[in-house]
Amino acid sequence: MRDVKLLYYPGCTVKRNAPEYEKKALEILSKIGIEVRELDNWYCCGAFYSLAKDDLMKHVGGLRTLIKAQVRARTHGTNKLLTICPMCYNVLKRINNMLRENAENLDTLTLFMDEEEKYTIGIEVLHLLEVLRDNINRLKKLVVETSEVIVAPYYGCTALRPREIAFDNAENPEVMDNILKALNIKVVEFPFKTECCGAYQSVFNRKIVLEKSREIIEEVVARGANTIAVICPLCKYNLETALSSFGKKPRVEIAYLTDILMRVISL
Amino acid sequence: MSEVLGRVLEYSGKNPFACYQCGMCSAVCPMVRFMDIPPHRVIRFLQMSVEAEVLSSNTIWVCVSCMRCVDRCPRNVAPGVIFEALRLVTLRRGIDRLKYEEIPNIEEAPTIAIVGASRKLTG
Repeated sequence: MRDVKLLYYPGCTVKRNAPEYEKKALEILSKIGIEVRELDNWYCCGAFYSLAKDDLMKHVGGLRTLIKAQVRARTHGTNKLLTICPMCYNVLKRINNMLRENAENLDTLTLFMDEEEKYTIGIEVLHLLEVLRDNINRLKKLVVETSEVIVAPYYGCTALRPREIAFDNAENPEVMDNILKALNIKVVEFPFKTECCGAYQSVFNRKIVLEKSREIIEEVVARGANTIAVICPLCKYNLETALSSFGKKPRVEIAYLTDILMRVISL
Repeated sequence: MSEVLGRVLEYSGKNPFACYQCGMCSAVCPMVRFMDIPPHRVIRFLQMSVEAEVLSSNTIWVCVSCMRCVDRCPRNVAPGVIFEALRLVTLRRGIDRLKYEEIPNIEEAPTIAIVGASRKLTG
């Protein structure tokens, strides 16, 4: 039964650095009855939302993707656009909100483009976590295994901040905790759920990433977890870089949430 | 008002003069320990028109726009947004901070790290 439909925007990093994340996410969604249609010829979202008021050009890639979704929405019968990378989610949702609040910006950006139709701000941007949360009962029905993992759910920054785009409490998110708990997976509380891993400093000032990410790992280990659940390819890369930098490597695995779910459900 | 400060206000749309120096931004900043000047003092320097200190500090290049200070600022000064404007003052002069040839293991780095750093550290 496929009764929920979603459009899907993968983004560059999922395709290049995290194909397994995508594969497993799509398998899980398919199994819980969600039909996912990837947009064709999508554009880079830009990874970081431009904060300058006069820098509208940097929103063009994201806007073109939203327009692609608008066109595809008419034939696919849904206006919901799924993302699995939280940075794509962050940028597309903020562009959507900005255009809704500022009609003049939409007019200016429309002038930058020749052949695209005008965006009518009808696309709703979703993250994978929201979809899993809203279909948790279907997911629970697939549980066939128990797992010995003890998980520290790590959310990072971009799914929850700024708070206008957050789909959960930005100070103390629980959506990932609740998904794991619903599948009988042990979860630990820890204070660095939304701490920054160091983001793109991995290519500029690597020391920062090593120090920040090592702290997160040390805290997770101290709380008795053996797995860190992540939803972002950049968080995963930074945490893994930090993990391999320890002299005595802590016994902890960094895994996408989807990997952890796949171990307990039947496909 | 100095020319640089004028540009910062124009790019950011924020008002550093609304800041009452509560220090919340510096308290919640995950990067503050790596910064020459903590965020609330950057805002204070702008109030006093001492932009040169700010532009030559590493603070604005250490910030990764995590939006913590922006969410928490009780005066909507949003230091993280002002930092973007301060970066643009330098970047729009054609002075890039990121040197691609110096990126370690560039083939292994996730695309978002390179795109993100390019967005924040090049003009």
